Amino acid sequence: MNVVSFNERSCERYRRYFDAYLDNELLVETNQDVLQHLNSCPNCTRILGDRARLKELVRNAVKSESAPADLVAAVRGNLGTRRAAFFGGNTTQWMMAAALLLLVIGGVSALRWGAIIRFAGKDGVLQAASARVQEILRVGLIDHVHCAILSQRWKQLVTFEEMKSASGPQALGPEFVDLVPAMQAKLGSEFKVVQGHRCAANHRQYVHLIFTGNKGAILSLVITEKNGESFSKADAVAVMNASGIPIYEDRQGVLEIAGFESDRYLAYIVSNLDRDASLGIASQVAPMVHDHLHRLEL
Amino acid sequence: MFFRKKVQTDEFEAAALPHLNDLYRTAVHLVRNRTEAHDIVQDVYLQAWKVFHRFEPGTNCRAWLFKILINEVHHYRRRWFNTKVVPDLEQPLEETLTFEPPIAENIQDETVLAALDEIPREFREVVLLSDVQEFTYKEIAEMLSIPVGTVMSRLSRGRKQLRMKLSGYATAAGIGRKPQEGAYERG
Repeated sequence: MNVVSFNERSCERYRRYFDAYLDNELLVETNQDVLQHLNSCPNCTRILGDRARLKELVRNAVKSESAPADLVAAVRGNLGTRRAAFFGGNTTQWMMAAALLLLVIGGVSALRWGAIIRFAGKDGVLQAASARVQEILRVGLIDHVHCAILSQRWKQLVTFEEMKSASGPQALGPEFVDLVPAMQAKLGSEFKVVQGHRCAANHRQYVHLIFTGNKGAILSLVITEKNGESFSKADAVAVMNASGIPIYEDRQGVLEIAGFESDRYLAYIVSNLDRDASLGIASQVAPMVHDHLHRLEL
Repeated sequence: MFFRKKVQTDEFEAAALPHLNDLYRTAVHLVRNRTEAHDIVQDVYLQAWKVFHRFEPGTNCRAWLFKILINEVHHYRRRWFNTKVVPDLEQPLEETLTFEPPIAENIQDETVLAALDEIPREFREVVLLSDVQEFTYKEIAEMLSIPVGTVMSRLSRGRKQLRMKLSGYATAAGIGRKPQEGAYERG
């Protein structure tokens, strides 16, 4: 018979959630419980870190192989053969069909705008907007937790020279490497840059800079391309403005998230600092990061 | 009507071809045979093209293609193999252990792929769809026509078997070994 202590039993309960946690499939409340348990249980943190690493190992291994070039050609060839059968129609018919298609597209677009306008007028919009902002802020939180904390990248010091000379999918590249000294200058001597890289978590690609500070502070600047999300479109109220850039804020357990956006990107400061310190840093770095992202968008 | 089909073909290529690499990689590890995977992916595209008029623009084209891939693979397996479905209640000894050994350091891609190919197909399928292709549980459940709970249980068991195979202890004992050169081609 197995003898299981109270703590082990408690850990077992949380470990049952680890797979869904890694896949971002838990309810916010359960997610919160797991995070709280992880804060006090190094063994479970190690186990979750291992599981996250295994997931990454499998993904990288499978993705290391590409389809052979002749497969692309074969598929195109097959489609080309099929397509040839449809090119024999008469031009007048095609033109009439095109006109009809344009009318249909126009009609569908009008219907969609109508739906949006009706939605904006409904009750409870503010509540829905707040939930949407939390959801958008969570996009940044996920990368900080998975990469900086669980994969323990915050412990893995990489020099700026190494970041500059890095190549491959994890390299910051010329588009983002200059953010490292710019962030360091804004954060001052209280923070040290640990590393900057590109990473992936939960269906998204991220640019991720990690810093450590006094009293165990771990801070990430997380940037990701928008995938339809937008703080401004969520109709939520920003907690502050930094040189005209609205900043949105949320707290999940011990972690504070401040987020802002450019046209194409979402950017986050995620840390274990308190709210005032986090917003203070976000307001300092947001204009610089926003300008940098804006230049990339031009 | 002719024009509609020409537009469809162009739209189809633009929407579907970017996913060819992912479909091929998944097919390779589902059937464990590159030649068959090559043929299956061609069949997937032909099948998808035939029913593209039923595809709703704006919905998830990638998930739609993967559902067709899964059907093609199942069809392929029914043709060539007597597949043994692993019962969801079956609990091998290794899965009853509560201790989680650490994953070995410096694991090569070949070792990971060999371990992946050793786990039962039902588990491998969900691991590939979740860990590699990053579909949600709901999307996987729809693709495989199984409940979300079954997706979760297969994923959990698949990952657990992978962990056991790739643990420091297992690799030291020669489990999860590298595959022989050309092993896939023997099917």
